[in-house]
Amino acid sequence: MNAHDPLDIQAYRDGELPPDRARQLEATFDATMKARLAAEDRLEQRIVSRIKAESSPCPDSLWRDIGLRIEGRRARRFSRRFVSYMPIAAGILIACGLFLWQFYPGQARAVEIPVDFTQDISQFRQSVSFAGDLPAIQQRLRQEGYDVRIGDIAVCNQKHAHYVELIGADPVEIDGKTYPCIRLSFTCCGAPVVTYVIKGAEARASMRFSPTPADVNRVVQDRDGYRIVILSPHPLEAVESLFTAE
Amino acid sequence: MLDDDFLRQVEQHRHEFFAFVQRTVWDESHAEDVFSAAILSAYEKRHRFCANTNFRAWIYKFLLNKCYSVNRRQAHVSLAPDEALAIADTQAHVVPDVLEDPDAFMEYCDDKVVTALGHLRIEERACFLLRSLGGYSYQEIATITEIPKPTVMTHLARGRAKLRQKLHHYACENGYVPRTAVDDAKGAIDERS
Repeated sequence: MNAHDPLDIQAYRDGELPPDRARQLEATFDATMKARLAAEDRLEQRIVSRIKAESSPCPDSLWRDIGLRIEGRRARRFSRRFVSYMPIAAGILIACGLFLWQFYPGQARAVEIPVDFTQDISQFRQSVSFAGDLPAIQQRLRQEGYDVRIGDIAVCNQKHAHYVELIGADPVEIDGKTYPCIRLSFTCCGAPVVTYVIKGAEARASMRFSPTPADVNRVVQDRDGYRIVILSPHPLEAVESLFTAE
Repeated sequence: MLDDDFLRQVEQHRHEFFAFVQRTVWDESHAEDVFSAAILSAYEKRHRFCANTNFRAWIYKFLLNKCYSVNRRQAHVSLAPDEALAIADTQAHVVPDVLEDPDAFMEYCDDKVVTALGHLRIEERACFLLRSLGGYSYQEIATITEIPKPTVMTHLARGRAKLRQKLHHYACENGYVPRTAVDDAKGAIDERS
């Protein structure tokens, strides 16, 4: 009996030996050993029963108290989270606001283009940075990526009994920033006419021309992704009929 | 794990958990506090519980850790002698006459089982209770107690041996006459006759 390893015997009793090893060990047991193992099991059974009998069940009041404390923690956690997330929520709101202000093509960032017809016609002509005839201006427009065709001015003059002259084209630049907008300068019967060709929905929505005096005529045409805004104190029918999208 | 799932699963085994705490802490009056603290601690960490693993075993870890910390603070009230029993000696602690008739023997010391259990070191007691009350395998006990499996086996063997030894002592105090003593007395009578 003493030849057996006590830990082996224990593992056998606890059913922890691999089946092969258990069978091998069992083969070495004599009747005395078997009786002893059975008695050990019985003794432990009695011990465990006694331990169980002497252990009181978890009191209901204790369990209720634990439940209440968990409820309390849950509520505190919720309020803590609510408070701790507030700066994050405020940050998100501010970020969204800034994003909309920067990128939303709405009222968030209107570009104010000053309209000034107080200068005389010679000053008006001098203010044009790229002067040229119709083919030169048309080519400039194409180079700048504006697929807008300016019609035959002579035909237009004849049709409307006005005298239109194309002076030049300038990219719109405000405070050092160039916008997707080009200004075409005309004279019509000796009066200045400015035409803004605005490209893209975003720019169209954000461009403002102000202040537009009461005596300044204004025509707005939307053509295939372009907005053409024509302004002049002079009647505009001759210039407004010049534009077609290509 | 959801709050309600957690509570439902703990409630299912709460009596077993409570019994474990009661028998593992040295001072039984701390059982309720230890039990509450362990369950609340497990609740706070419930998101760390891996689904499809043993929830009971996971809770036992918390219970055991709390028992350890309370027992550390209460080390002075420990009944457990700080003795290391060699594994070979665990056999010697199996008093032969105890196994002659375990039921008759237990009649003399039934009421002292819990006291005897109090003499086991906490690791021995935890391993014994997890095995006998919880029905856990050696490997599961090793996981719960975070000690190697061979050490679990050693603690279990020592715990059982000490328990029997203590019970034998109490039984003798209560009038149990060891078989060896009966044999000796018989021998003396035979000699005289």
